[in-house]
Formats: sequence, structure tokens, C-alpha cells
Amino acid sequence: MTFDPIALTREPEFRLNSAPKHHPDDATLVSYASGGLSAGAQLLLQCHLACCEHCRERVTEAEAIGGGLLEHLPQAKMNTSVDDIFAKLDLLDSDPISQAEEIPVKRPDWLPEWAEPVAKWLETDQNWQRLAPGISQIKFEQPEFAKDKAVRLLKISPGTCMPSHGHNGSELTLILSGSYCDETGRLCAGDVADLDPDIKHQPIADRDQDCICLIVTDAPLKFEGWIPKLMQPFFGL
Amino acid sequence: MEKVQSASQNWNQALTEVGENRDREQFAALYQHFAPRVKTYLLRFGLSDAQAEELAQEALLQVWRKAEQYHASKAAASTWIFCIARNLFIDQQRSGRGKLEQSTDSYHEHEGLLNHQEQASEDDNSWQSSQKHIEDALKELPLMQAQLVYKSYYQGKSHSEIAADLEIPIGSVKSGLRLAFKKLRLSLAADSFAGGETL
Ligand SMILES: [Zn+2]
Repeated sequence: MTFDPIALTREPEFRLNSAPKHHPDDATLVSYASGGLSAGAQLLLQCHLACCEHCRERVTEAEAIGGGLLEHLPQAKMNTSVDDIFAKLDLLDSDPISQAEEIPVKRPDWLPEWAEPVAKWLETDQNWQRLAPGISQIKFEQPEFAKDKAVRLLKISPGTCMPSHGHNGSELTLILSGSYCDETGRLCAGDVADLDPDIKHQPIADRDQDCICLIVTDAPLKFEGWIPKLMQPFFGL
Repeated sequence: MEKVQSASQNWNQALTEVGENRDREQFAALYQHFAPRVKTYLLRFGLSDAQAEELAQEALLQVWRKAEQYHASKAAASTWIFCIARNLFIDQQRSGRGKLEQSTDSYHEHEGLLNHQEQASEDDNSWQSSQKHIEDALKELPLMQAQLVYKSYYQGKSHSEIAADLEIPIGSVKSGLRLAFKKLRLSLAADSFAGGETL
């Protein structure tokens, strides 16, 4: 099955040297298709989908379920008649689509092409903020991400070992560059860690280069993501 | 041998003709079939009647405008229109227009709606049979899984929101959705609207 029924929000497709091996949970792909993801999680999935054919196919299937369900909804009363709509169509046809051109954003060197959607959220001259030895972050605090607990980029120096931790809320990690190893295996550029809350793991960044990842925590109310918890001993966050 | 086309394939063809020939008659048919359903879809998300009406109109106008980009070999018309409505809703929420009441009603309160089509017009009998698979598959899901599908697709809720709603752990939301997806995918594979391979 091919992808992209509509060219509305999808990104172009990229082929990585080795296709991603770690994918989001099916439940997460379903939520992407049903429109239930927070803005941060949607951004992360958009990047992964741009480089993962496997998940694009899954999303296409989940969207087909949405189409099937749409067919089964009862009909609400439309107050707009077909004639009204044709009048609007005439207006539209006489007025060629004025598309708001997106201003091209500069993509930093460390950001791969398939993760272009991330660039839009980086402020100009945004600097990495040091959190702990070998760990720094860029936090996205735009109002669009209000529904996310936290959306951030994390840069981990080669060989840095993160403390072992579990997750209380749902948390997604996308590797943008470099790689790390944990109990689930080796995660490389394009891979997504979508761990169930009860799974404990201890990531160790590989030694050859910085590992940069996008981490989205969707944990409103009582839930806490692993990053704040992880940093508590250092900063009392 | 003459092939009988399913209603779903008829909609695919109608949309294709709108794209290729700007066929207004076909568009009127699409509008009458899909606009009232898109509006219901948007109402379920908690939009007011006026907001849902406006957005459903906008969705169908986008159908007209973007129909050239539609390929029946890639998706059913209903899926394509679902994606347009979903994206419009997401954009509207992000842009902060239209605040909505979070709906907390649940699947079984609407279960009946899946079974009867009160205002069904005559064209509906045909598509009902072709879409039987997903309807049956949904009814065969255990109540909790149907609930998760309902809250995901008809309320656009995230895993943690659903977990809070139903007072179950996020892990259970995910595993339940996973199982439901597995079953619904199978029913899709057996159905015609997953793609146009049969065309
Ligand atoms: Zn994938």
C-alpha cells in the first residue's frame, strides 16, 4: 500500500541507510491517525513517519478505520444547502487559492533532513542549556505545546550513562542523531522508544558522537515524566 | 464478467470525477452523503452546532479544492474525507479558535447509534452492506476496547486523557488499543475500502 492519501500535513518521505527498527506502539499510531496526540507527540510522529515506511502503512490502516467509522455516524442536520455550497464553490473558483507561504526555516547542522518539522520550533540562536554533566537540553515552551507535559531536545555526550528509571506517564523518545543502548537494544537515528510506563531502563549514549533526541512527555495531572524525575537530584525541579 | 461495485467504490469514483472533471453533480452527492456525517463527527468532539456546521462546510470545500490530489488506489473517499475533517479540527484547536467542553460520555451511550440510521436516506442501504465488516468488528470488541476506540476516534483523546477518564493505567489503555487495532485491521483487510486494488 502506498502512502499519503492527502498532502495536507504529511512530510516528504526519506529513506535512511538502515530503516528504523524501533517503532512507536500501535496504540500511539492509532492515536496519531485518530487525532488524539498532543502537539508534541504529533510532531515526533511526523518526523518518524517521514523516515519509516512500516509505520506509514500502519497509520494508513488506522486512518481507514477512521473512514469506516465516519461512514457509520448518524447524520446531523446541515443548515447549509447544496445550493449555498455551490455559491461558495463559485466564489472559490473565481478566487484562486491564496496559500500562506511557509517561511523557510534554517535547519541546524545536527538536525537531519527528515526531522525538518522540528526546525520551525527552534528560536534563532537558541542555545543548549546545560542540565548535568554530559546532558543539555532545549525546551519547547510555545503555547501550541500547552497540552504536553514537556517537549524537549536532549543532547547526551558520548558515553554518558543515564540513571536507571521507570516512567509514570506516557513518554516518547525519537533519536535524531547518534545512538544509545538500553535494555531494549540499540536505538539509532529514526528509532522511537515508546515504552510502557512499567518498564525500567537505563540508556547509555554510544561513544562515537553526541546523541540527540526529541522527548515528549504527555502526562497531565498526577503523572510525571522521567526527565523531571531524573533531574530532581541535580536541580530539585 | 461484470463486476458489481460496492457503494464505497462508488464514492471513490465520485470523488475521482470531482478531481478530474470538476463534476458538480458528483460533488453534490458527496456533500449530501458526507457533510452531515462530518458534522456529527465534529459534534462528538464537543464543538457547538454552529462551529461544527462551519467546519463541516469548510471540510467539504476542501474536498472540492483538493480533489485532484485524491487517488482511489491509495485510500477510500471516506478515509480521505475523515483525514481532512480531522486535520481541520486539530488546526482549529491549535490555533485556539473555538474552545470546547471536554465530552466525557462513553461508547455505550452511543452504541445504539451504530446500529440504526434514523435519518438514513435511500442511498444508505447500499453502503451499509459494504461497510458491514468494520461495524461487525466494532460490535465484537469487548466493551472496554470499543470504549478505547470510541474515545480515540470520536473524542480525539490522548492515552493519558483516556486513562484519567476511565481511571485505568496508561499501560492498559495502550494494550487495549493495540488489541482493538489488531482486530479492526483484520476486518479492514477483508473489506474493500482499505484500497482500490480491486478496481
Ligand atoms: Zn516506524
